[in-house]
Amino acid sequence: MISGLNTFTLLLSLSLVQPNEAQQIDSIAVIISNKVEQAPISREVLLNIYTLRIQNWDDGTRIRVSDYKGDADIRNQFYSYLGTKVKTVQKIWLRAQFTGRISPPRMFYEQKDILNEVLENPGTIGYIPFSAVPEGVHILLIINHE
Amino acid sequence: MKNSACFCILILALFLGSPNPSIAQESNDLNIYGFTQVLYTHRMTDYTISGGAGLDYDYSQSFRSTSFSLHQVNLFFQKPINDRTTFFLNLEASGSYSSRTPSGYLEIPEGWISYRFSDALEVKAGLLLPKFNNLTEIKNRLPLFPYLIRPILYESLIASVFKSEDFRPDKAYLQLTYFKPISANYIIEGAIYLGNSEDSFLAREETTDINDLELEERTKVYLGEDLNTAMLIGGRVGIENVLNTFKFGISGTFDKDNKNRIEYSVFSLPELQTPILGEVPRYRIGLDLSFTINDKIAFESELLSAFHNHRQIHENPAYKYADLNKFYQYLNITYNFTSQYYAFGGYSISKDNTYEFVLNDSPDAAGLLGYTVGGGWKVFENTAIKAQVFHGRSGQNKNLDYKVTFFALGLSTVF
Repeated sequence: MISGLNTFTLLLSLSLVQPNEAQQIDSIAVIISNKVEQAPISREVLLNIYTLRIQNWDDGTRIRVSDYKGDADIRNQFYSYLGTKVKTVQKIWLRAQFTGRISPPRMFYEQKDILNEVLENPGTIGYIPFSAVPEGVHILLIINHE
Repeated sequence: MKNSACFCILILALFLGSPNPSIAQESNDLNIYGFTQVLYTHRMTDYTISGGAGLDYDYSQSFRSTSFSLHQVNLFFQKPINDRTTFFLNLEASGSYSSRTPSGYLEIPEGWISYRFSDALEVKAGLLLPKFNNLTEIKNRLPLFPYLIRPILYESLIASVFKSEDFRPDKAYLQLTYFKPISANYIIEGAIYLGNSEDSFLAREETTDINDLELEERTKVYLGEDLNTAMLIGGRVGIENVLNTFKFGISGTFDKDNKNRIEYSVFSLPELQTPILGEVPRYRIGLDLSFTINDKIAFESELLSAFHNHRQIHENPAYKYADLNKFYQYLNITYNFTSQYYAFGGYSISKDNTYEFVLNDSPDAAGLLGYTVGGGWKVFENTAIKAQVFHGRSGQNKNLDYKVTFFALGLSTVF
């Protein structure tokens, strides 16, 4: 019953926060599955993960990067925090993909898909509004709106 | 025909076996992706060879062509084997490849397995493109470039003009890479690698080609075997920004240049040939610098020099002035008007002193110069339309006047 209620609450919160709508996200939570042993990370580590320099978590699990497709507000806010732009990171990813260094990052339109990816594939890193963080994930970093 | 059918079935099976990358996958799935570039070119070539310097020859030719082509298709297969080990295969078809026509070529320029000891230290074993300057590792990744026709040393459309291996390594088989952060945003990176001697040492027939019939009958070799005990040794040290807004590096290789056969000039001047000089120790040194300014201006450049140890050659008085050294320079600037539209301009120059001691004022020493301007429109996230004018010509020279101009329009798509 509690589990059913949690699911309902999660679905309700996900449906209320759609990243593609023009809105300012108050805080963003950077998350991974709680099946991975990982301490909180700094902005520099997060930058190195999303620019694919760091490829394994502390426990050795391979890092999988997930991200939003298109021009979602949360995406722009996230990369602004990292001090860069979506296009710049896309170029880095393309080169890394083409040289075989990484698997292609998983791209999704909806935050619920990012959440599913994080929960189902330990090692996947993603970011969603802080208000939508469910149980079963570690919060690695909270990005507050400046 | 049977091979082609098998190949098609293999590709089809791989596609059918691979789920849509946008939906959740197991982390060890086989990833298949790639790119294509379709090209329309109008080419104008004019050259005149005059009979100067004792060459009894006079010849002029003009050539015009208009051609569509599937310039290049690359399929990448990337398979994480475990959390630290990855397999990668690059399958490349170029020049509207068809075994029926025939046209173009199909090859596997890369097939390697990598193991990461840590985030900073990785080893790759297999056929790979070595880290040498910024361009060598990505020379055939066309969507990464603003242009359609690459700088003269990298472009397959003008590959017949000279051997690119005279200037830079083409492949290696074992590579160790390392990087170390030196600040929040900058890292120092390094690589060392080993490979075969240059391609001209590889067996193209199942004999040794050693001009000794008795020994040749006893010594069978396999196609592609490196018929040389020397190896390619190379490396690179560089500094770069993690966001790729700045990159500078120094690269170098040591190997042997194969001068066991008569070679002809890059511009094929009739009757001009260099003597057999043996296996000449060679050092290739490269410098590369690239940076971007405010996401508006992207600057990219490189210098390459091939230095030879001429000591043994110069012991022969007839070859006292032999000089096999070569030089190459490249620069390109791209201006992004918006995130969708850009324009670029650049040049590349190569010079080769090899034939100067045979023929004063040789065309090779005068060099091949390439200039280019163009622009692009990124229609979608992974699709761009590009237009370019490329003009190449021989340097000021009394024996040869060579000009080639390409007008090119192309469509580049990543999938």
